[in-house]
Amino acid sequence: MDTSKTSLKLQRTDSDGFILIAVLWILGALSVLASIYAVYVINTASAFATYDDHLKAEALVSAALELTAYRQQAAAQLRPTHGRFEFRLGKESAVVQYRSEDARIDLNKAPKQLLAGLFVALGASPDDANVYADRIIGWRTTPSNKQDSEALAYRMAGFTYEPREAAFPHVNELSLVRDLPMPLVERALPFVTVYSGRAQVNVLEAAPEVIAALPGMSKDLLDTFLAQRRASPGNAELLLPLLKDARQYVTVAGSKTLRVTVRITFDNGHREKAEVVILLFDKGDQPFAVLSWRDPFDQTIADNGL
Amino acid sequence: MTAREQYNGEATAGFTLLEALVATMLMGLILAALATITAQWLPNWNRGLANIQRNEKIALGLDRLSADLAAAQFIPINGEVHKPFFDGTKSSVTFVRTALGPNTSPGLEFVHIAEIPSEQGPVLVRSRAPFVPVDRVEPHFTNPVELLRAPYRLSFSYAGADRVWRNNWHEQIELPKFVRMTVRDATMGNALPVSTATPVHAGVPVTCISAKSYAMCLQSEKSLAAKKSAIQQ
Repeated sequence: MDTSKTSLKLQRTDSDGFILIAVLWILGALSVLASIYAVYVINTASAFATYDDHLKAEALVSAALELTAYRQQAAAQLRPTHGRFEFRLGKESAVVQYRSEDARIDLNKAPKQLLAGLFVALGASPDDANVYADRIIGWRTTPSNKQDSEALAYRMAGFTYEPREAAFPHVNELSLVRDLPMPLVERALPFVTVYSGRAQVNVLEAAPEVIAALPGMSKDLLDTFLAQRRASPGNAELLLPLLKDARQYVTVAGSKTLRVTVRITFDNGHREKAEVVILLFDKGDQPFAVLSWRDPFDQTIADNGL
Repeated sequence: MTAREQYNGEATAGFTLLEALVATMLMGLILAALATITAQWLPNWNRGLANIQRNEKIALGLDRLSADLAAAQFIPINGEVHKPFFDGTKSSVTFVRTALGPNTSPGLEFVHIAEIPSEQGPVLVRSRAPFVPVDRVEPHFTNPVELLRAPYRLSFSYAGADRVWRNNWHEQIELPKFVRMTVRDATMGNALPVSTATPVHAGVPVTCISAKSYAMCLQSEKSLAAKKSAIQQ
């Protein structure tokens, strides 16, 4: 009886081994196939991850612009000059900051005193600053008579081109203006715009360099104004009297153009930043239009402190 | 132990040997089948990998193209003209954008993307020239960068607010809203799935800032352009 049990046990064990070997071979082959396929999928997925990020960023920036426009249109009577909000879309999050574009000096509208003041604030001598301001005004002004002295000056100086004699379509055109040193242009670019549409600057939002550019602004007055603005942000009644003679060059009203900065954090921890200038419309089906759009997938965007 | 029990034990041992032989044969069969399948499958696998590598290379070129076109700016070529400079055909496109590249000054530049002939067939090349206000665009484009090479050919099409694709975009009052880039294999004639489209981000010119609505902005742009072209004539 005991021997019969042993024999049966031996038979069962041998049979199990036969199946086990075949199954192990098949499993081994399948696992090799699965591993190769997994490596292939991972490689392909990582190669296209950049394009995914690009698409997600585009969607997030568009959503940020629409939300900004919605917030501004909802407060049409008293548009805020700046704002900040956060939102999530899918697994990504975005921090949105917007600021009235008239916090910068408009190259097409600003008077000579304001332009010259900016160059002085950026380190140019007052005489040179006046020349630079004259050159900017010469670039943007259509000559009233047939004597085109500005174009003649460009030809005499050996330039291969003439001034536009129309509004600057883009701030980068400042680099073409005669006599302006390139380092000064590079320093001035974060403080100028062509999208404000106003001759005045918004002192509630402007950078200290822009406030310093206001005619009649001394260092003491600038320090006092900035200290007061930090203590009572947005208090126009308190701040405007401090500016004395410079009041004609300033505004505190909200603008139709906004500079929107969107900082995106992807689910993998990667961060990107886009900067867009939008124009809000009062009427019609389209609430806003894009004037300028810079994203990290084309050019690196400098942090201008917004 | 009885004789019957002994016989049964021997039979079980003989059957185990047979099992081992069958198992070895089956293993051989499985290995042979796997080897056959792998032999048939490896060339296809290699072709698939080559296709992916090719698509990735083309996608890199298209990605640069998309970023370029998306950054097109609303810049008239001089103060006399009111329309943005964007000249697009089926095989080439020229436009103005902010200067791109290391150590470039903060200016604007013309970008010209077009096919040029070469010994190996047509090559799609991106070249650039510094932007200055000019009467007619005849800049000397430099810094050629190869984007796509034969047998692949790229064709452009453009869509405005009406979202109708056109083969040309020339002297329009607006920039195109979208640009489509279709890559074809010239030998097969089929469009590759890597073909793509990109939006052009800049929507309106500086002169629209005073407009109350988008429609009014377009209307004033049209009338200004008509007035300027009448003066030029």
